[in-house]
Amino acid sequence: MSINNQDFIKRLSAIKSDIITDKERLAVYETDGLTAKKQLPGVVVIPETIEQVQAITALCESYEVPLVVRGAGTGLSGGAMPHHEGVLLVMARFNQILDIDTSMRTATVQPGVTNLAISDAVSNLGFYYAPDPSSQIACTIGGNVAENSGGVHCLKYGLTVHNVKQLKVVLPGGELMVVGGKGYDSPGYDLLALMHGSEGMLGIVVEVIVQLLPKPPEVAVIMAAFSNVIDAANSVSGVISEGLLPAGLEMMDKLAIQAAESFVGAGYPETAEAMLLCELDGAQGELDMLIESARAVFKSNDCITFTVAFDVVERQKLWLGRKAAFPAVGRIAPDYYCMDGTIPRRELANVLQAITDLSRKYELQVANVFHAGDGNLHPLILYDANNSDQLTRAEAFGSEVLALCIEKGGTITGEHGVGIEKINEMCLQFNRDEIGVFHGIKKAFDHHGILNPGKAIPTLSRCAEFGAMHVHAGEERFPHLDRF
Amino acid sequence: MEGIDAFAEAIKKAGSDGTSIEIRGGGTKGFLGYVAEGLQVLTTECYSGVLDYHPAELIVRVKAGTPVGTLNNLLRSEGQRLAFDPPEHDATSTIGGVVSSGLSGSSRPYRGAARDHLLGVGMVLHDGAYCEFGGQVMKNVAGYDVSRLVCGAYGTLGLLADLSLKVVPAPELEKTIILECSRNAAFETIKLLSDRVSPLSASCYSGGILSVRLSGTEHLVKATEETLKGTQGDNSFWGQLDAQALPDFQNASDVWRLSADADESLFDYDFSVVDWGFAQRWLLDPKSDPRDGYAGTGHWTRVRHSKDRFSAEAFQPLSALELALHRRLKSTFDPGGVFNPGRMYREEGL
Repeated sequence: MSINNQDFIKRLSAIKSDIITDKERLAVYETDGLTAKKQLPGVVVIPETIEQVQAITALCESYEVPLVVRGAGTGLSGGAMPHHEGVLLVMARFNQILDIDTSMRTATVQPGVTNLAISDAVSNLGFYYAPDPSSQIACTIGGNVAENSGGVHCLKYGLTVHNVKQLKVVLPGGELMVVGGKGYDSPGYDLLALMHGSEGMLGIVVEVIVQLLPKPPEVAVIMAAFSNVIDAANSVSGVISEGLLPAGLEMMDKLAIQAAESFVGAGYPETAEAMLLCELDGAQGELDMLIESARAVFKSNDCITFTVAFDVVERQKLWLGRKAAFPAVGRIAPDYYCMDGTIPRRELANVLQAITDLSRKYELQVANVFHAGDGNLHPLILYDANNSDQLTRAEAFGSEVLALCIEKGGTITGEHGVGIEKINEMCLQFNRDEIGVFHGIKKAFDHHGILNPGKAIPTLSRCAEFGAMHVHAGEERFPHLDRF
Repeated sequence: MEGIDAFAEAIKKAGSDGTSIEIRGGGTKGFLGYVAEGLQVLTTECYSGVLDYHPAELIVRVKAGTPVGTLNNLLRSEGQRLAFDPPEHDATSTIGGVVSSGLSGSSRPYRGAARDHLLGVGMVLHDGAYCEFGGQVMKNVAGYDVSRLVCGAYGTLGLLADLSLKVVPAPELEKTIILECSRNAAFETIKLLSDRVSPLSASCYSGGILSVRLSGTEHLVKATEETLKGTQGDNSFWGQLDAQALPDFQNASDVWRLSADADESLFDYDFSVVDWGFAQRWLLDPKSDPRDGYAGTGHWTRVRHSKDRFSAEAFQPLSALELALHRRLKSTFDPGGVFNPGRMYREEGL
């Protein structure tokens, strides 16, 4: 069914949500954080109530019109890229914090509330919401659920799925379903977990209850500089082996350090080849011992500087450089391609070396800035989109990095999601049977396939085509991959 | 033929014969839900052992039939532990059984559930295919979260063969403190400890006694202990509580569990034991089905029962909408109804 069906548009208009159909205003929504992929939506709808979302969804299903949901559009994998013959459902007006339960430390919020707004609203109570993606000032909690977002603090405090207690979800038929609850479990299958990271493919999140945590009274951020990347990588494993569980453990290489430093002046060591930011937190009187343990690990791996910030302003300054690293890199190159593979920590040094080699092979610079403690890499491949050869090389470079992550026992995406960006690489990570299971789950929720079609889970024929592309020097690079 | 291949053959054969199988680990949790009689039993007991363990990765990958005690001992030898408390009903309880049943033990409110620490699974599907979901890394959002979906699905979606679990450093010090106090005082004590960064890792109120477990750095555990002014308890209490091996449970013929908002009123029922910071409540030997007339937002499970005393479903019935979705998921994973039919919802074959 086409979006241009007059009857459909008439009935959509009757739902009384704001509707955008003119091209100039539609263009605002043509892309999300993955700006390389652009697509004008067929129509944009901006509802204000759950009932409107239900009515819109049911209408789309009955006409089999594609429906893509968008929060703040900060996603980095194109999960919210519109469908040209579909409805783009913008959840921006669901921006209210509905309830803060101080007794059980939960907040009930609408999905369009930004991640940071939750922590801000409960800060005076001594609480915060732990997952903190770098885009937290803009990204919404609904989008966080869809992507199962992480952030620098998820090493110790978990991902979105570990910090959400209940969701209200509109199913493709327009029905409203509550998953999870204020207790610690629910009867039946764990649909609460299944919704997390489902990338808008299974249902539309219209309300979220998050768990809040007490703010740690003592926090320190250690900045350690190294004269080579290997020492820094080995320090990461060393810290974990020592039994320390930092709140965050981040690594940046020279190019990322220099870009961040010239952007925000965080006081980073610009001549170092690599640096680590290690946040330790705890109760009163616990911190000195933890810092000493970390110091011993870093010293034994030949760190060249070791400084500790206790003061909140100083700590924020150190984190500012890290959180602004992506836009900072954006200033030194016309475009960058952000990867999101995750690997076992013990492979960090090897994979970083391999990325350096690939950088030479493709003649493209790469800046590394990532969640080292989690083994979650974010190589930023620098290129110029106006140069089509560079774009092609950047994509091939990225694909090789992801293949390497799989080879090392990791994954193609740690926290940014598959979306449209990594849909081909899904065929490398999963075999035919596994992808079949994903399609089965999708169908159990969304029989007509109206929600976010073409994202997250590749069709088997797409995998066959992509597989054919990956023949190198007469050899199949992934001989275990099904060919069909 | 053994291991995965043997599982796959047995599953394919059941499928082609049109019969069903009962998947069993150590067979210690048959009291939960419903186990159909006369089914062919496929046991994972022989499929035991560690597949991969690098302490610095904080991840262990094990075969489903590995006994919980064996796994705990291995982790302890490296100064680590599972982050959740897997109940060990007896020495034959397997880690696969714990995860399949989604059982989390007394640290649930403070350190998370079994599913929270499950990073990936390898499972045998209805057609004998071995599939892997999730992985052996801390963060992984590729594909739907099938690992967590099968955690707590009681083996109704497939045979859970291999599991990757997150592990954590063992605490420097762990202590159990006992306080005699009223129920209200117990609630307030737990709330006070929960509202700040504290070493609280378990709590239980029963018979006028509040037991709390403190786990963390020696400094913090001792500092917290001083503020509580209680007496020293035994850390083995928690394992017994999680395995329902405390005398109260052993003497009861009917055991019901209510999982609810910790804030929900306690006064309508005579709960014998309340743990998980008041969010998990145990009702022993009620005269009638406690679900009748229950007006709260939690859910009940009939955990143990004297035979034929209650005919209703063991788990809280699902709404029509939830049930329809569950049926569709079940038929996706198990179109022939091979795996543990009716284990969760007897009437529905789920």
